[in-house]
Amino acid sequence: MEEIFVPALGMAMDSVVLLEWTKQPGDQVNAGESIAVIETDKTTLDLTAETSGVLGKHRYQVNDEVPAGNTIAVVLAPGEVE
Amino acid sequence: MSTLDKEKSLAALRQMMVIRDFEETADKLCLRGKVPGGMHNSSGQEAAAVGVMSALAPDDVIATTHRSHHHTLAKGFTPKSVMAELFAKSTGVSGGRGGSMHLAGVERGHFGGNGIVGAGVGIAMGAALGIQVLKDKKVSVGFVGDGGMNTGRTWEAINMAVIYKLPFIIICDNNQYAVETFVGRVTGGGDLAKRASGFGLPSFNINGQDVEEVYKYTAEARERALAGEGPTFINAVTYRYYGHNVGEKGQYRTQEEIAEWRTSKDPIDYFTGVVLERKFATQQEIDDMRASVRTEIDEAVAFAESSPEPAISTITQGVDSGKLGIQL
Amino acid sequence: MSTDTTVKANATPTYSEAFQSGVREEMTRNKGIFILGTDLQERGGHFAQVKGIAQEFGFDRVKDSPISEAAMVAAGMGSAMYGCHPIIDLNFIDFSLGAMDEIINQAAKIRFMFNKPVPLVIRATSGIALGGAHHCNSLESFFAHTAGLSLAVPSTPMDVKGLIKTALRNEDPVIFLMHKKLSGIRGEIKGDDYFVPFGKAATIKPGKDAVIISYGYSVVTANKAAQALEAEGISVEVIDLRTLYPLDTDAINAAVQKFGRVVVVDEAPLFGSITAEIAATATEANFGSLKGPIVRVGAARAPLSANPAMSEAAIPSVDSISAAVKKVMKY
Repeated sequence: MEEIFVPALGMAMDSVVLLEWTKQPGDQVNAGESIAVIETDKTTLDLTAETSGVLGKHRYQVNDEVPAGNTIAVVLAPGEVE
Repeated sequence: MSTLDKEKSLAALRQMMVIRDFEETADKLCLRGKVPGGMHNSSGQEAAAVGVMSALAPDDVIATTHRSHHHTLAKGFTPKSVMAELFAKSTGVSGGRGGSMHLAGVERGHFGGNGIVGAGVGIAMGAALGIQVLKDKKVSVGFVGDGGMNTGRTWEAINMAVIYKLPFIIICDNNQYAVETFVGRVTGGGDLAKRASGFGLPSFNINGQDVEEVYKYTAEARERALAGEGPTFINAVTYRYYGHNVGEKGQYRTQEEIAEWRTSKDPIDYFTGVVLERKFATQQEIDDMRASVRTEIDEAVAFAESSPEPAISTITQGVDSGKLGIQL
Repeated sequence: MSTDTTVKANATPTYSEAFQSGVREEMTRNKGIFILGTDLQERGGHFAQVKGIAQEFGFDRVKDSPISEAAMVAAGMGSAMYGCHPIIDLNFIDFSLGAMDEIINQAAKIRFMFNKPVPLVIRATSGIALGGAHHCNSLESFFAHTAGLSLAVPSTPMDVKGLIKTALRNEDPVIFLMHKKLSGIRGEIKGDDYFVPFGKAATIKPGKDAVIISYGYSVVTANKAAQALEAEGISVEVIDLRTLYPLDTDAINAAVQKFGRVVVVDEAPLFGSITAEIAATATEANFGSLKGPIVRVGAARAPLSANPAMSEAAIPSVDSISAAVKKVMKY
């Protein structure tokens, strides 16, 4: 199971805005693919998976503020459950 | 003086493994928000730090840069106390006040990491002057990055060390990029040892990925310094595997370049080969060493996690002695 | 893991993008404007403040510099005397300390001594966030104290753009401070012909009972305090100074005379802060209008700790600002 999380970057970043989910719960995800798009204080970023699997639940909704460091979803390997 | 004996080789190898594991672990924790303000990862630069420290006596002085986890660990500070400082906890080397960029232990000869480029060189030069004035048998080492090779204060300090013949060694921990700027783009003349030699001190460009080479040049510089022959400049060319700050992913260098350094010039891989070839350890012993390092870093994280925050009531404590006859 | 994308969130620009917008317009108009600093061309600066400008205007007009602060400001000053209008980007204002002679002894004094203007903008990121003692100095009072310098401290994208455009039409050295914590805030900006004059404060929130005078990120905190006090039946006006020199003494005097209950807030250590200058000047001019002493809220006299809780406790908060307002309300 890979946790997809908002990376803590920079000196002033407390939270980011979740702009878009690019994968839905249950979707097949390939390593390197975008899961979601977030907006930091400097730029917009794609959060990508490092492993392949199936996306679990969306833990935040579009336009939610997500604290830096928090997990927004997990990528499940075969046989894993959330 | 040109090679490390068995005991020192194994200690150096283990120390490099400690630094690598520490940095890889801290990087992940930093992305999770555990390191307030972020940090500068030194993965790839282990040999420059460990090679220098292998040639120093425990009470020699160092002062360093914003990227100083490796120097601090190599100087003998425990992963627990350094990790706790990254977490800004009260058990950290600077009591949680300094953070990743301001690791120090002045009483133990660590005059501090620094947020200001080149500032550590001047402070270390001053310590060398103190050593000379008090007639101690020690040396002082100032670390600076390639970025700091172009700030005036670095060269003012080097010039002063030369004219006073101070027991001083300047190590350019040259990872080749000042944030995202390649050293060659902003460094007139290009050859740093040649530039330094104009100030009238022995100056060398060396392979900063070979811990033994770094050790050898530092040990010789230390001998000269203790003999009253003045300072030495060493440009140890190395490479950082990660961005300037954690999470930074610039387009300023290619993935191929990073991969080449990682796979063909890695200081730990290289020196592991040396240790095996000289039969200082078996592969099994090296595997055991790596496992014990893993445990040590896990323990450091647990220590940092469970350590208390510094007390809020201390924010104005220690600013001055309070003995100046004024109350502010 | 994460990678950069080009997706734009919504229409209104960030504080950093507002800076880019103003600089672009002025660079198009004036061929003498160039930007010099560290990591500008590809990275676009550490806070994306000049992202894309090098690609648009060329590497001759956006120059990557070695880490050589004294030479950077000297280069700006000399080229300004020669006829350019440089923007020297010092990254963090803390790094100006390596160029303080060039700023205070040289750039600020040349017009007075040599009758030659020095049209120079020194841009830097300022303010208190995470990052520890060497990246969180509040140096506003150093610069405001120095004759010959102007000092801009915008708190909104609108003002960033309006003030940088004015600075780039000005003949004299300007210190342009952009707060770390404001980099990502969004807001409306105006077009090519919109300029914010130096020395003109803005009312952020009107009120009836008391006034908070502030600048930079403290305006955000003060505004939160004012909103919270509103719920308790205290109506507080919030004034954003926008520039610290020239200082809008007319707006300050008018507010003091109107309310008689005044709080001044910034993040600098209280001892010797610019808030002391504001309080002293306002008191001298309006003593009869005051219902009691002006209350200042500032930071502890201490370097900033790397520990977030210690750092937060050292600087003004919604609570400490609210307490100051309640204190003046008791007069």
